[in-house]
Amino acid sequence: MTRILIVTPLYPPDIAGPAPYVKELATRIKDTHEVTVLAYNHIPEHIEDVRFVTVEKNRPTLIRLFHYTYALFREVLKTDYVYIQNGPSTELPFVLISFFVRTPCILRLGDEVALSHSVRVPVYKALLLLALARSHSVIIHSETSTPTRVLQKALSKKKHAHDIPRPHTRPEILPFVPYPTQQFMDYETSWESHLKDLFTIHTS
Amino acid sequence: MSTSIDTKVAWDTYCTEELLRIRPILKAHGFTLDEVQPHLQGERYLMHAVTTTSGKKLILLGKDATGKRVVIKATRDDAGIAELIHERKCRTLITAIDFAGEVFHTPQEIVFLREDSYALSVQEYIEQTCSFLERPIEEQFALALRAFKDQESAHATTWKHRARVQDVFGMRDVTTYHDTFLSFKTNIQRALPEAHHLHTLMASAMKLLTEHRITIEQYTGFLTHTDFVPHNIRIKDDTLYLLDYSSLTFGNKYEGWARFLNFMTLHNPSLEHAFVQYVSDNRTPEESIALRMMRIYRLGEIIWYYARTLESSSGNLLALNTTRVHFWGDILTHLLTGNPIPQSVIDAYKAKRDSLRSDEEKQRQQGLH
Repeated sequence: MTRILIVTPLYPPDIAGPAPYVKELATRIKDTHEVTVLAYNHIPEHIEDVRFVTVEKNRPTLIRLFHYTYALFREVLKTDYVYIQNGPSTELPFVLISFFVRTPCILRLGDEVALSHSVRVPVYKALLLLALARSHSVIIHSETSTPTRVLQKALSKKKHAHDIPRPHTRPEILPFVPYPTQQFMDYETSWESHLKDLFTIHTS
Repeated sequence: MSTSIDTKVAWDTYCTEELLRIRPILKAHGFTLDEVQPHLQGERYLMHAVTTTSGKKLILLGKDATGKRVVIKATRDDAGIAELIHERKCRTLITAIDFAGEVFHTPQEIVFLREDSYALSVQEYIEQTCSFLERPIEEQFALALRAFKDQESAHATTWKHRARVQDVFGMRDVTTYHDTFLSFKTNIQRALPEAHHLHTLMASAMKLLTEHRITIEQYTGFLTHTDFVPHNIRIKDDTLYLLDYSSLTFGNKYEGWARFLNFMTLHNPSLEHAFVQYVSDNRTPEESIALRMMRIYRLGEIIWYYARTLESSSGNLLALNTTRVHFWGDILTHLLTGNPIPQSVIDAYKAKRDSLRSDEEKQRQQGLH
C-alpha cells in the first residue's frame, strides 16, 4: 500500500478551510492507502484505520511551528507521498524540511481564505512562493478562485501545475425539505472524479 | 412562606424606588418609561442566572424623544453594572475578532449612561410582526440553524485566539463543565435532602458526563450563546437579532444548542426532534454524543435553578416550582435512558403549570417567546 501523509493546518472539529475536505479524502482513500494525517489539532475526529499526528494549537506560535516541523520531518521519512494543504502554518514547516528530504510533495492551494491572506501579506507571499517552488506538483481550483497575477506567474514556471475541479461539499439533509438525492449523486461524482485526478497527478 | 412574601415585597419595593430615581435621569436624556413594565412582573423576582455573570438590574421599556420604542437596562448594583459593562465588551469584541466568520445581528445601543451611581444602557427595540414560536416550524428551524452556524464559525483554537477572548467571554473546557455539574449535584442534595430519586438521577448523569469527557472536550473552543432561547431572539425582515450578549462564551459548541433544545422539549417538541435528527444526519456520531451530554448538563442546571427557588417560594409558586423540578427530572430520566419523552408527560406538566401560574406571570409570558 502506498503511504500517504496529508499535511493540513485544519482538521475537524475545525470547520473552516480544508478541514472537511481532508477528512473526506482520508475516509475515501484509507482502504487502498496507508494514510496519516498531520494536523494542528487538540482532539481530532476519529477515522478508522487512519493514523493521526497532532500538534496542539494552544501554544505560542514559534513553539507549535517547531513541533509541527519536527513532526513533519519525522513523518515524511516514513511516507511515499506528501499532500500539503496550503496555509503559512504548513508552508513554513514544509519549506524548511524540503531541503533535507526527497519525498514527492504535492501542494494543494485549496484554502481560498489562506491564499488571499497570503498574497496580501509580503512575508506570507514569500513563503507561499517558496512552497510553490519547493513542491513537486501544485493543485489549484481556478473555477472557484482565480489565481492572482503573482500566483499565475509563479504557476506558469511550474512544470507540474494542475488545475482540477474542486470536489463538492457534502449536501445537507434538512428536515421539512425533500432528501437531496441529486445533490448527493453530484457530490459522489465530483469526489470520484477528484480521486481520479489525484491519482493521475500522483502517477505523473 | 414568610421568606417568599419578603422576597416578593422586597422586589416590588426595590422596583418602585428604582423607577422613582431612574425616570428623571432618563427624562433628562429625552427618554420616557412606559406605564406598564412587563419585565418587572410575575416570577421575575426569582430569576437569577446560575452560570453566567448576572446582577440585579431592571429591564424596562420606554420611548425616545421621537416616540421610537427603546429597551433600557438599568442598575446601580455592582454585579449589575459589571454585567452591563461585560455585555458591552462582548458586543464590541464580537465584531472585532478576526477568526469569526459570520457575526450575528444585535440591537443597536443608542446610549450608555453612568449617572448618579447608575449604569443605564438604552438600546434599540426590535419590532417584530410575530414572535419566534408563532412562525412556521420550517422558518424556526432555518433561523435557529443559521444562528447556530454563525456561532460555530468562531472557533478559538490558537494561543493568540484564546488570549484575545478569554478575559471577555471566558472559556469553558471539560473540567469547567464537570466541576459545575458536580456543584449542581451537591447543591441539589443539600437543598432537597429527601429527593433520593433526583440524587440517583444526578449521580447517573455525572457518571455519563465523566465517561464522555473526551467528546465534551473535543468540541470546546467554539462561541456559544448559553441562553439561546426565543425570549433572547427578535426577528425583523428575516434577520435574527440576538439579545443578551453577556451569555456569550467560548465553550462546547452544543451548549447553546442544548439550552435551545431543552426549551423546545416543552414548547415545540417537533422542532427539538428536527434538530436532533439534523445532527444525526449531518454531523459525526461524536457530535450527537456531545449534544446529548450538553443537554444533560443544562438539565442539571435547570433542576438546580428551580430547586434553589423553593426556599423563597410559597403557596402556588412553591407547588409550581416543585412541579418544575420533577418535570425536568423526568426529562433528564428520558435523556439518560435514550427513550423518547411521551407527549402526555409534557401535556400534564403544562396543565399543572397553567393552573398554578399567577395572572401577573401569565401576562408577563404573553409574547415573550
